Amino acid sequence: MSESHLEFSQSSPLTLGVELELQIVSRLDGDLTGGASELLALIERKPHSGDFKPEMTESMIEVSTGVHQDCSTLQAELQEVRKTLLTAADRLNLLICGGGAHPFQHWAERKIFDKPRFHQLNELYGYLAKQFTVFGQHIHVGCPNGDEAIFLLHGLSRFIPHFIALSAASPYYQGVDTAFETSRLTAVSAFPLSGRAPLVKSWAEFNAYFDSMKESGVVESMKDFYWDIRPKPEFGTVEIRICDTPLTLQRAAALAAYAQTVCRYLLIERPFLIDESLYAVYTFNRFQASRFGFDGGLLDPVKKAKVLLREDFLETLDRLAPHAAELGTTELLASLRRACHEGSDAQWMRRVYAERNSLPDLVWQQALLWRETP
Amino acid sequence: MESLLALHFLPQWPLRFDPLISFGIVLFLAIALGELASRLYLPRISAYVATGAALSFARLDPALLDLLPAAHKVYELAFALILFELGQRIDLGWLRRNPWLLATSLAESLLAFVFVGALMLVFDQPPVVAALIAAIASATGPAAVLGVTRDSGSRGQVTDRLQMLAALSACYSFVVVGVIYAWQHAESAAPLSIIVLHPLYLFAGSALLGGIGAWAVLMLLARIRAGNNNQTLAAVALIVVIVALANTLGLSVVLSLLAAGVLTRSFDRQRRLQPMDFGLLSRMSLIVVFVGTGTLLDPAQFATALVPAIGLLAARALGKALGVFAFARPSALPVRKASLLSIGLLPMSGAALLTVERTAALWPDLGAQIAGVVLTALLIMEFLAPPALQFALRRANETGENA
Repeated sequence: MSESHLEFSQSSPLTLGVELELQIVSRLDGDLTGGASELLALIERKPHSGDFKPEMTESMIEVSTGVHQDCSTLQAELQEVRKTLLTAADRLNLLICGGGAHPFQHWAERKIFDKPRFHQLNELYGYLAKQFTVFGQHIHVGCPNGDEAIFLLHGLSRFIPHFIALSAASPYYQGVDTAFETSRLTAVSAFPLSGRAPLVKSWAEFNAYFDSMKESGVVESMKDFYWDIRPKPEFGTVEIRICDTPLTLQRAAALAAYAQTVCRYLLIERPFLIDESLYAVYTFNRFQASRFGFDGGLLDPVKKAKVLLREDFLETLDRLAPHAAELGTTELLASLRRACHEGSDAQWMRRVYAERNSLPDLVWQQALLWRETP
Repeated sequence: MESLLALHFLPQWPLRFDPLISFGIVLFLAIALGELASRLYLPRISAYVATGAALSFARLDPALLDLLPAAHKVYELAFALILFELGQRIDLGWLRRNPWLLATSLAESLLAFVFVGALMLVFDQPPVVAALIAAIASATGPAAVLGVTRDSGSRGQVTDRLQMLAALSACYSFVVVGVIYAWQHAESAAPLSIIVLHPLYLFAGSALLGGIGAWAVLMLLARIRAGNNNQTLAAVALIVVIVALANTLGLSVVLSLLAAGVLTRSFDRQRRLQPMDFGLLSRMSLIVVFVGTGTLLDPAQFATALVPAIGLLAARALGKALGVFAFARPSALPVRKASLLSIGLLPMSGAALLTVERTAALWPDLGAQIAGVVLTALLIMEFLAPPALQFALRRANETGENA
């Protein structure tokens, strides 16, 4: 056993934690502005629930919750966190909003947050570092051990298009309508270690893979993998990183509820075998969902058939119903069913822009929505 | 030779230059030096001031004196444009959300006023003179702040607070000067009604004029497609009208234009307006204002007023820094940023120039008494403050890519 061996901490299965990357926006013109360091300094003065961390640039802040069994307490903590953040932001005259990318910021204007790791990444990745001013939601689901984490990692890949379509909130990028529901995923894809994890079947196999990557100097730690789904051995979780930060907290909580329910379904029903066929369709499905949302196509790796993503999602909800009842996520999943019919956050953004014809005003409306939706 | 004289359309020798040529040459010189300064990582503004100073050493062709009234108008318009632009960046709602920021603003202006005033009394100046100098010194230069923050593409807390504090201190300074004028009127035994009514008229009238201007800007601009260049040009036209009206009605140009800028933003509920970017026009204005300030250099006066002027600057810097630090924590500013903000507040206001002139017009003696110290201090600061300000913004990690 080499020294780099990754110990998988045990955690109670199906517990949840959420991280949200949020935009720091100026009230003057709706563009991104610096302020993360002042916000963090102000928030850390008083005890508070949740965790607040810097991200790559001064215009981003990451908030995260503790560990929850139950989505309702998770939602309550997210609301607390939002209150703490908005109180601080008001004193600094800053707006906070959700969304996967800022509609019209210019990436070159961003300032790297003053922390050694971020400067190193900026050195290594060049313009990619500043272009990485995109905002995602990460969902952690607790796993009893490493082998189950690897099983969930692969099983969840089947549902990645659902998470993309449900969270999509970045149709505008650098001032242009990209025609995508989420443009954020394209920014992520530029990194060499992005995309899917390799098809290893056990924690021991994963360790062997990690060791070889580390010995060859490709990575230093798990942090260097930018995969859509990755194990997080320190927390004892599997981490879903595909989602745009939605425009509302309510949606963020619903996405966590969906992840929890799908994981319970996977762990209990073991509905399909884990093999390479899951990944044969992966990039096609990922593209369809990013570009067209629920109107996109989905190649079902199990049935070997092409279906409409919306139909596949609604069917999945039906299959999840008993698990949702057990977990108490029925209501939150119902809100996702409505969203699937009524349109994504990205479509909301396009509607608002069509009405008001101003991207700064769109950002302003996003900030209002973030503040006022339960 | 004979045949050459017959060519009557050729200019007469020696050539008589159109005075406009000096304007062009100065402008060119300022721009060239500005470019040089930016290569040396110095603010362009410093080069503009240097150009003006160089100009003041050159002997003026008497023909150029004809240009002075016009130059004065251009200076005033340029300053007005800058004030309007700064006003648009001020969000009064911030003072409601963070009242300690208002406390910071009042404290830094008040302490600078008290310290400078006390020092002037120590230098045996009469109370009216001390108070007037202190009132002028308590303001932070809106043009320098806007010029350097724009030039360096700065965004962030130090930038935002600097703009807010500069605009507010310019307003307080103006009001206090008005009150001192009233006091001076009292000493020259003017009736009470004038003492009370004149400052009130100046303040309320200017604010009202600014308000009407803001309303007109919004009405007019709502009818022009958002983001269109014509929006900006229409705004410039209205600014010129506001300046003219302020002069006609005997109101304050500084206050009217700041109010117009601030209120265009407050009234714009649907955010139809972007904060307007006056682009090249704004840059031209900065050149005019800072070259203009540079020309004030008077070597004779410079020598005698040097000590009190340096004292004034030190007292002022101390007062402002104390005010910022006193309320840094409650106003949610980390100590490191508070020190950078204190440095940022160093530039003196070019409005000093207008105030000295106005005072001299009303009471020539008083004007002469304040001119030496105030203008010397202003000039020293015009050289020192922009690099200091740029340094502070850089250290705050708020400057844009090219600064």
